[in-house]
Amino acid sequence: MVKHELIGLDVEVVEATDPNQREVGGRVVDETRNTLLVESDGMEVRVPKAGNTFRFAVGEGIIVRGDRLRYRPEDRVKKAR
Amino acid sequence: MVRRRRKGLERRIARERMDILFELADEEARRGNLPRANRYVDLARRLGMRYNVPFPSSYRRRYCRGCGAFLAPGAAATVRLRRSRIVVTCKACGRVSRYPFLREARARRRR
Repeated sequence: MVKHELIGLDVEVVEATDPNQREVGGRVVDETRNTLLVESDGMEVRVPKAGNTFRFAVGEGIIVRGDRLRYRPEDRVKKAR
Repeated sequence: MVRRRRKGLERRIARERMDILFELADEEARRGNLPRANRYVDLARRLGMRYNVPFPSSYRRRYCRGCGAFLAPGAAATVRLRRSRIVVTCKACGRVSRYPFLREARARRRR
């Protein structure tokens, strides 16, 4: 899962260091090494991966800690585990 | 202990991700969001280069060889048939790609 494509998936922030971002949910539209760009209700929110926990809408929903995703998108296949 | 890399598996995942990204690029381009489509192509190219995976053949002609832009016919590229060739001009950088279709042209001549 941590190696797969995140762009295009629906995501929900389950736990966040920033209380305002705790409720963010939507579709991942872009990804950098340290952040996800989430589109929710017509707004784009950049959510840091570090310290946050996400639930991706794959099957029943998969919960991943953002720290495990902290690689460049193209490096994640190689490095994440 | 040295952790062994599983290149076959890595390539398979990379290929799958490239497919997804191209589909998304196509979708975004149809919606008119060309910058995002180009971004997805860029990500897909990086995956391809990192894991030495060739482009899915169905999408090989859908991006510009010169600047990497997603070539949405009409919106980002001009597609013309000229002298037995498909001529695709990228509207962003002006790069021209020509794809001959000799077999079909020859068949026509024979008739």
